[in-house]
Amino acid sequence: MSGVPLYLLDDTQRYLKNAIFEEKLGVSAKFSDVINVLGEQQVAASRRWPRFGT
Amino acid sequence: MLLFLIVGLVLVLLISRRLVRYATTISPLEASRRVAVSETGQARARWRILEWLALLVGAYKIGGWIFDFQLSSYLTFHEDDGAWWTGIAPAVLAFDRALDFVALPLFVYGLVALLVAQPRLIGGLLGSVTYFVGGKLRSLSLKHMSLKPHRISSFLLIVGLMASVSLYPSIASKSFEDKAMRGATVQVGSELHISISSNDLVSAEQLDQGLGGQIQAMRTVVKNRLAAFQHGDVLSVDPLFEAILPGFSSLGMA
Repeated sequence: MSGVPLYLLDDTQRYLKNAIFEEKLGVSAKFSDVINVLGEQQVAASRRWPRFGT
Repeated sequence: MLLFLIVGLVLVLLISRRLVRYATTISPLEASRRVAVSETGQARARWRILEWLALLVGAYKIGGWIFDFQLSSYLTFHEDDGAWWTGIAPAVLAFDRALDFVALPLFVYGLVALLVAQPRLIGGLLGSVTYFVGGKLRSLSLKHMSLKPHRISSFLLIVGLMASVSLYPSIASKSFEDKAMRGATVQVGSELHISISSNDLVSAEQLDQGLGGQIQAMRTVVKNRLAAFQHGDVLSVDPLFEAILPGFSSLGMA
């Protein structure tokens, strides 16, 4: 798996407050909900993620 | 060019095959009359299931554009769903999106087909129009048109479809422009985004370690630089680290 971008967020609340996004980006849930449930050392990934390596 | 000509010719023959057959079988005596009675039966516009479907599908999509809804958005599928469902659901979504490109002609075709299938309605519409533009010849023009109503219906159908096709570029161009702008804004994530390569912030030795070490080294440098950065027009600056797997990282400033 190479060339896949990984974005690191220091503060998810600050990111949601300042970044421009649309809720539909979350596809299966609201984008803000996806980011909100992230904790330390956790990753939110596209549902296509498992297919990247194949 | 030749392909367009062939496709156009084939389509015309296919669509008009019934009328061509009629024109080649009509008796010379009937063809010489001012009004051929059998022509009305052959060329009469009909309101059938396909016209109903066109009107319903077109009305659904146009209603969806106005009220911002689409039925396919209620379809959800996950990796653990059955294979048949994960195959069908994306196909339904794609079909629903594809309808956006044909919804307006379908709606216009269905609506005009409904209108032209009602001779009394067409007569009322034409009567209203000729009331303003017909003048003293109003009754004469109405009588003339009523002799061959199927030709008026065909004319209205063609004009309606041409209008719908010619309207598409003006509607679609604005829509595509808005989508492109939204896509670019969401992709950037801010009004201004500056990407800085990690090599411009830290030394090669500091980058020759794991991702955690790289981020830590860059975070220290960025923190110092942002602390020194002051500009009246800049309200806030947020750094966002982007790592391209397997291990190269860069910094985005939004």
